[in-house]
Amino acid sequence: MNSARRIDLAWLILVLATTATWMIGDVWQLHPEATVPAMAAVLAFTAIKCRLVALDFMALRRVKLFWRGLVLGWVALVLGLVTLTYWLSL
Amino acid sequence: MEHATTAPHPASHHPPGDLAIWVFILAELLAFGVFFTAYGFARGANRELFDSLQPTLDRNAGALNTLFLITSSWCVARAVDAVTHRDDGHAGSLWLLGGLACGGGFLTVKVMEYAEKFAAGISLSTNTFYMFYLSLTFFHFMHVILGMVILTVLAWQTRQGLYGPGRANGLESGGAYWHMVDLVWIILFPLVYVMR
Repeated sequence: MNSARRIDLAWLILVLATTATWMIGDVWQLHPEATVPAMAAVLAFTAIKCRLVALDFMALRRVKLFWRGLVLGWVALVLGLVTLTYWLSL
Repeated sequence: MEHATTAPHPASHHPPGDLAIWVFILAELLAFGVFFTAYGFARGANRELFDSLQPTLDRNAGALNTLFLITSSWCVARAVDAVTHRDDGHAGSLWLLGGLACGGGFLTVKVMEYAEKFAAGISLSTNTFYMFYLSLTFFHFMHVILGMVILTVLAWQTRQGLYGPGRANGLESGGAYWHMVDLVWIILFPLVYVMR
């Protein structure tokens, strides 16, 4: 797959994942008891979206692991800490 | 020429753009990371307040703005690709204008959101939830404005033929900054508008 097609595919997945997050938000408001599966799904979609932006938009897919690791590590750390704070408040 | 532009690029040691912009991006990510974590802990300490006021935010506007930013980021990624892989500055500048238009859409929606909140008498001092909502989103808002200034300059320079394969450091640096702005919003939207 050439670079332009890869960027297009990343955008399409980002749009679909955003729409899914949007819909989950609506369901979540109506069904607060679904917190754990809703949060897991939203965090999973967010992680996928961040990975696509880092690898395909920022073009970090083919750079040294150190640089890719810094950005993806930030994503993992922030989502992990957010998960921790929400888990502690359950 | 065609083979040279479409063949996979070899693995690079450094990310696209200047090293300095990546140091700046990492510092920005660190600042936003601290902000996001602080929001999480503040929500944990004031769960009823946060859960009762979150529905007052316009989730549709937040989602629409996410679509604006990821589409803008897509346009910028395609601009960099057009210039660095196909030496097509004309297409590159058009893609950048598309990115600017989407950035303008983001700012318009955000201003409308702020206007509604300010009209309702909501400010930074209203309570902890709105303090975080306003300060986090406004901090990001300022980054979008700076990013749009950068994109405007890049669109002009690209149209002038300043960039091409092997000489696109400025374009790649500005693009990386814009993607950082997108990356941060991708976490901010679910955190502030969706998760409860």
